Amino acid sequence: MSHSPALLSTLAAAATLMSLGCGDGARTEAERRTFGVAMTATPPTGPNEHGWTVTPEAAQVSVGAVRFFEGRVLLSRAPRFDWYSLIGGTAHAHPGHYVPGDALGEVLNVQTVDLLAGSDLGSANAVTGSYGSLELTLATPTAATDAQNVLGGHQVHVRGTATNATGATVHFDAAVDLPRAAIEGVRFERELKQEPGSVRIAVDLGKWLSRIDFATASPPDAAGISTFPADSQAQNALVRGVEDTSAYVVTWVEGAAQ
Amino acid sequence: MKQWLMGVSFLGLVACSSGQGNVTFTTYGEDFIEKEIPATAFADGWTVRYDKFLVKLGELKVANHEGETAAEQGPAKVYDVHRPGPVNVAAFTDLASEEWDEVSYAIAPATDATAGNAAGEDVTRMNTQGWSVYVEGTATKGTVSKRFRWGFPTDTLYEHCENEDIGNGVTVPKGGTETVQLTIHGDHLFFDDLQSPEAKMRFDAIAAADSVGVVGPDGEVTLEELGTVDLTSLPSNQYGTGGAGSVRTLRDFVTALVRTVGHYRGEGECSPRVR
Repeated sequence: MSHSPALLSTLAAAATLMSLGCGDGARTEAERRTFGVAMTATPPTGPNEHGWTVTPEAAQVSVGAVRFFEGRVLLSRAPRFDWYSLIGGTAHAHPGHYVPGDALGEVLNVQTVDLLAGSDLGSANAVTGSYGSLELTLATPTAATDAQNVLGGHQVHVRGTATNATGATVHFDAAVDLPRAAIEGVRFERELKQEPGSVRIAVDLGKWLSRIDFATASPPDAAGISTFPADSQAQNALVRGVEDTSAYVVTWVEGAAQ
Repeated sequence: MKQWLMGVSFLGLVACSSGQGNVTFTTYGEDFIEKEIPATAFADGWTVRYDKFLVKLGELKVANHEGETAAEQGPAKVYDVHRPGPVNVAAFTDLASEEWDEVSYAIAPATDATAGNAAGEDVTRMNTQGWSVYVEGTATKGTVSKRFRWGFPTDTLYEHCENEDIGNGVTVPKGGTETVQLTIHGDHLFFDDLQSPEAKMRFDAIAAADSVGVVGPDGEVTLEELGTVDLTSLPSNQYGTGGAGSVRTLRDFVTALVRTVGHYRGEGECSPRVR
């Protein structure tokens, strides 16, 4: 059976009408785009939960892949085929109360970021769409990614001074390696089209350090520096602070150069 | 050709709206709530048996993503999903037989809820205390038993309900009745992570709270005792809070988990929105 071009056109038009009539005509296809991603930090704004006022003097993190997803935090959505995978992207899905859903963009560079100075992570290869969250991967640094060895082989390094109301002062130097290197489900909700702009990830150092009782740090060494023993409350609290996804405030900066 | 086009147009109309049908909503606690959560489900060997699992279900709504509402439930009702189920929650009749892809419901502390299948005194207590969820049961490991009786005032709206195998919301069948289950997952109260898909079920830390708590080890773990356990006193690879930054104690943690008990058609999920 053969159809004339006119008939095929009519069928297509009818099919379109049927589709529109069912209310699904507003969906648009995703388009490729890029946007810059930068990372910085905000300092603590007051005493932490144990009454310690902390002044960070150094904060570095080894950042790996940053992936943007459709799934909103605490939104579970069934995985489905995504055309983004056709252009080399990845789409992850797993059971649980946060399901990333479709991948919408990624930056794959591995680098050491000086959080107090801030740093560009690179340009995300992405698509337009409804963004809900991102995943921040912490990578084990190498000589190539941490030439000055500021991280000492760890994913996170933080150094500073903590004081409390009794006059106690702790000069601390601590490091973290997360049991699971991916910090999943960081909130980033935006309908992203082709508007110019970039993503800014601000690490809230107050959140990182908020639960630490610095009295549980080690006694100071000869240089006056205390560390966090592996089984100490301080280390436990620092790990939980770094894992806390609310410590990562992701915003869209309008108009920034792409 | 004109006749043919008219035929296509008619088909289009038929495809979009083709009569009416019914939807019945039920709620069900599954075996974990009705019978027990076996030791094999826990990473640390506990067994949990519920004696009561009260939920205050309300604000049930069948709609679509264009904002059209097909049906809404009246006042909230209290269900004891420990009792054998599924039990009927609402029956909506004569709805347009099409896909309604936005189903939502709430587990919220309404103060004027009426009885679903719960006992009258339980309904009164839920309303008086301002609870949306109340659980009562016993955890056992070897010769040790710990009782718990916890009421929560959490207010959670479960939106965008979907089941991966069935689809979003509900499709109303022409001339028939679709049954939709609002499934309550009782095991979630014992997960050791608020976000990780690798969360395990544990009770050791909760049981230990009875020993360090306010009234001493009396065989019952209270919410007040859980509130004395700072999460930083627990192994750092347990009780991760994801993005729930205000969760500091085991009481906070279990309260956050309560918001995840509402599911959709078995393993299906909704988006829980904190109110």
